[in-house]
Amino acid sequence: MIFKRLSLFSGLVMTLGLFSASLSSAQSNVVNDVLIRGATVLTITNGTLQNTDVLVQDGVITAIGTDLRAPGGIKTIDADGQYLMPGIVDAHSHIALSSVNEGSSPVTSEVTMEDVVNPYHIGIYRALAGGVTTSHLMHGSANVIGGQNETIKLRWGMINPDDLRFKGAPRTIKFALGENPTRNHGRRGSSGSQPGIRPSSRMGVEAVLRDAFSEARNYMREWADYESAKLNHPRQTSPPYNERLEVIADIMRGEILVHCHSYRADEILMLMRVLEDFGVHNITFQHANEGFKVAPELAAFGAGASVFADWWSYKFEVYYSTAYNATILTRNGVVTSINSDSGELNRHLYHEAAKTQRYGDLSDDEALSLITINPAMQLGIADRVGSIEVGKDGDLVLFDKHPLSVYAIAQKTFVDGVQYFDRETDRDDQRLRVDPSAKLDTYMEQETGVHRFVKSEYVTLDILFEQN
Amino acid sequence: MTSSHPRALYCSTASVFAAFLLFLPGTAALAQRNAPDIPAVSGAFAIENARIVQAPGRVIDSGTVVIRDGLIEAVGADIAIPYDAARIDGTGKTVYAAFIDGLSMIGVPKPKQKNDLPPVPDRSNPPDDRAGIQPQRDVRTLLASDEKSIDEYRKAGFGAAHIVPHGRMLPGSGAIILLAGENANAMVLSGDYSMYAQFEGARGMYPGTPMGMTAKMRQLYREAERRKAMQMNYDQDAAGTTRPEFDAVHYAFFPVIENTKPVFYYVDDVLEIYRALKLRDDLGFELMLGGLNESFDAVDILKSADVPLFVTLDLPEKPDWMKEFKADSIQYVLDNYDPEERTASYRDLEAERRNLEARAFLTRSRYAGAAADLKKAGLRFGFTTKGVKAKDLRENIRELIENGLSEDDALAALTVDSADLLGLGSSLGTIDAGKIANLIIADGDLFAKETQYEFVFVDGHKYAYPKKDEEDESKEGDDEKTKTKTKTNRRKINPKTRR
Repeated sequence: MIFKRLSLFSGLVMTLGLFSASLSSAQSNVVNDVLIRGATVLTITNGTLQNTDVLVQDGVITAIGTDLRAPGGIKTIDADGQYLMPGIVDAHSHIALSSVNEGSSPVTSEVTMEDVVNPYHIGIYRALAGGVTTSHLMHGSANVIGGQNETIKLRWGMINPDDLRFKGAPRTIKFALGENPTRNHGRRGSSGSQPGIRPSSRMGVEAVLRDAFSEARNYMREWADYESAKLNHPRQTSPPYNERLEVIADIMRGEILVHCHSYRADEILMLMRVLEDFGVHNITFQHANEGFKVAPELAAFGAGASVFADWWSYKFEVYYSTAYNATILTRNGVVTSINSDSGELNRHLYHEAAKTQRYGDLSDDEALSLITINPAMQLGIADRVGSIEVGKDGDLVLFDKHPLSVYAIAQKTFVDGVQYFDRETDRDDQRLRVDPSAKLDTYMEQETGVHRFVKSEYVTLDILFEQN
Repeated sequence: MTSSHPRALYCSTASVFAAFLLFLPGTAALAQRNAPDIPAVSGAFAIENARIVQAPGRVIDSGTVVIRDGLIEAVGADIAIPYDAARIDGTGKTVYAAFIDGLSMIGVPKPKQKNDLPPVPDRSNPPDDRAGIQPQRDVRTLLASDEKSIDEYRKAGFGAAHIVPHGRMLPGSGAIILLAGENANAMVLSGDYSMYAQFEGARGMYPGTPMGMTAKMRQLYREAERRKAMQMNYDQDAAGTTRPEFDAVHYAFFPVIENTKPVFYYVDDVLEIYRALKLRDDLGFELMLGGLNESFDAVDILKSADVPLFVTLDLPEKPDWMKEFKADSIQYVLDNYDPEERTASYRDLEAERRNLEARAFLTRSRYAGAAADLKKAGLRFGFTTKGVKAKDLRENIRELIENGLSEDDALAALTVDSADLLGLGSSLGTIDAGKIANLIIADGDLFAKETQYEFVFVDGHKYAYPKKDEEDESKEGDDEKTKTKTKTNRRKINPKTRR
C-alpha cells in the first residue's frame, strides 16, 4: 500500500520534472523510455535473474520479466551476456559543487549545498562512467555542524542546478567530529595570525554540539511561547528570527537526517549520547573507521555507517582501522555503505564493494548492497532507488562483466530511464563548457605537467613513465 | 577639458605647475561648464546641419538640435536657431543620445586596501562592516566629482550611470548620476535607487562562500521582515509596546521589503544568475541583474524571470596562444573542428590540440554572442561597464556586433532600452524635446574604430574631445620630447616620490 502511494507520488514528481524540463529547450525531447533485453539482472532485493528484460517507461521501471514486449518505437538494448544493476548511490561526495566548506564558523547549519550545485562539473560525467546515478553532495568537515547537504541525480547536460536535485529526497546535514573542526577553529591561534575559538579539543566539540542543540531548544520554546501569547496579546513582540537555529530545530523535529564525519569509537559513542539527550535518532556515521569497535552500539541506536573499503592512516586520528570494517558492521546488523568521498574513487565503487569479499566474504548481494540499497536507506531514498523493482526509478547501469569482477567496465548508465553515459559514443572532450581564457593544454600535458610537446610530434605513452 | 589645453602648457616648469593646479579639486570643477575656454553666455547651444539619430531607426538626415539650460529644447529638420545659442557646425557629423551605464563605480573612488586591520576577535561573527554587509551606505556620500573615471567614460560617450559603492556582499545603495556637475550633489539625478548586492565573500570570516552569502541574505531579509512588522506595530500605537531597537543594516532592507527599492545583483557567471533568481523567488524582492556573463546558458530562465537585465561589456581575456593566432588560421581550425573526436591523445596530439583551440574560439564567441542571444529571445537589456576599462569599451561592443548583435540593438541597449529599464525613459535615452541634453556628436559611424566623439554633452554641458590626428599634426615629432620633459618636471615637483 505504502509503496503504491509512493510510486504515485514519484510519478507526480516525474511529471512535474518533465514539465519543468520541457521549459528548458535543451531537454525538451528527452527520451526516458528504454527496454533492456536479456541481461543478467542483479536486483539486489530480489536476487539475480538470468536472461531477463527490464522495461523503463517515463523514467520508471514498469516491468521485469522474460520476453517483455516493447511498446511501439521504444528504444531497445540487447544486453545479452551483460549485467544490469541498479545505479550506484554514493553516500559521500563533493563533486559538482562551487564551494564545499563555509569554514568560518563552528556551526553553519543555515548554509546549504543546494545553493552551490554546479551542473558543469566534469566529475558528474566521470561518476556516470563508473555507474553512479545518485550522489550525496556534502558540506565539508571544517565545522562541528556544517551545512545542509544535497542529494542529486547525475543528469549530465542539464544546466539548471535545480534540474539535478533528487526531488523528494529528505534533507540531510553534515556534522564533523575530531581533528578537522578543532584544527580549523581552535588551533588557528598557534600560527599567531588568528585568534582561536572553541572547539580546540574533543571536549569542545561535544560542548559546541550540546550548546547548539540547547540553543535551538530554547529557540523553539521562545517561538512556541510567542505564538501562544499572541492569541491573547496580538501586539506581543516576537523573538529574533534565526536561520541557523531554525535548521537545528528541524533536526530535532526529525525532518533532517544527520550525516556525521567521524573516525574514532569514543567520538562515535559521544555523538550517540548527545543525540539521545536531544531526541535525535536519524544518524549515519561517515567514515567511521573505528565503527567496527562499536558495531553493536551502532546497531542498537539504529545508526548507519558509511565507510571506505580500505583507506586509513592518512592522519593521526584515523591511524587505526581495518578492511574488515564493512563486514563487521554488516554482520552486526548495522546498515552499512561504502562511499567514495572522492572524484576518483567514485568511478569504481563496484571495485570498492568487491573488496569486502576479499576481506570478509560477503555475498554478492551483500557486497552490492553496500553501494546501492544501503546508501539509499541512509539517504532516505530507498523507496525510489537502490534496487531493480517495478515502480522504482529507472536508474540502471549495464556492465560487460559481473560488477564485482575486477574486469568489469560500465557500458551504459541510465538515470530516470535517460541514457547519460554510453561507452560506445564516449567522446574525447565531454566537458559542458571550457574556459575561453585558459591556457591550452592537451590531456597529456595536463596529466604529465610537461609542455614540451612539439606540434605534430609523434608522442608515445613513454612520456608518462619518464616522469616517475 | 580638452587635451589641447594642458598640452599648450607643457613648455616650462612654471606652466606645468599651472596645469597641475588646474587639476586640483575645485579648480577643475570651475573649468567644466562650457569647457574649454569661452565662458558661458546663455547656456544655449545649437548643433546645425547634422545627421540626427534620435533613437535607433529614427533618423533625421540633416537637422538641428537646440539645447538650453540642460534640456533639449527642440530637434528637427527645420528648426529656427535662437539668437543666443552657441552654434556648432554639424556638417558631416552625427548626433546620438549619450550612453547610459546600467551599473558601474564611475566617480566612486576605490577605497585603499587596508592590510593593517587587526584580526576580528571572532571570525564566525565579525562586525557587519568587516563582513562586507553595509546596505545602509549611500553611494551619493562616496561620489567625487573630480574622479578621473568620470571624464574617461564621458569621453567614451557615457552621459549617465547607475553607480554603486565598492565593497563585498552588500556594499550599499546605488544612485543614478549624470557624468557632469560642479560637485557630487549636482551630479545626482536620483538617489537611494537600488540595494546593490554581489557574490563577494568576506575574506577569512563569515560569510566567505557563495552558500554562506545566500544563507546570510536569507537571514538578513527574514529578520528585517520581522523587525519591520514590529516597527509598524509600534508606529501605529506605541503605548504599551516594547520599543523596537533601531539598527542600520536591517532597517536598510525596509524599502526592499516594501518593493519600493529593487535589489540590484551583480552576477558574474551562470550559476550566480540561478542563485540570485532563487533568492528572489524565496524572499520576494524586486530584482535587477547586472553582469550576466554566460547568460547564453540561462536564456530561457531569464525570459521567464522578467527582470531588468544589464549585460556586461566585458569579454573573457584572450590567453596568449589566442592572441598569436592569425585570422585565416582561425577559420582553418574551426572548419576542421570535430566535436565527436575519439582519438587516443598520445596517438594524435595535433588533432587534439586543434580541437581544443577550436572549442576555445567557439566558446569565446558564445560569450561575445550572449547579447545577441538575449535579443533573439525577445529580451530587452542595457549594458554595464563594471570592470571594463573605458578605452576597451568600443572594441568590445564591436565584437558583440560581429557576433550577431545589430548596431541598432547595440545603440538601443546603450540608450533607450537602458533608460526604460532604469525607469528613466521620460528624461533620458533619446533625442527628443524636453529630455536631458545628453548627446554625442560623432564624426562617423558610432561604433567604427576611427570615429571620434568630438563633443559629448552631459546635462547641457559641452565637453570637447578634438580628434587626435588634428592635434598630432602640430605635435608630430615632438611627442617623445614632450613626454620626457613632463616626466623630468614632475619629478621636480614631487621629489619625495623618488626617494
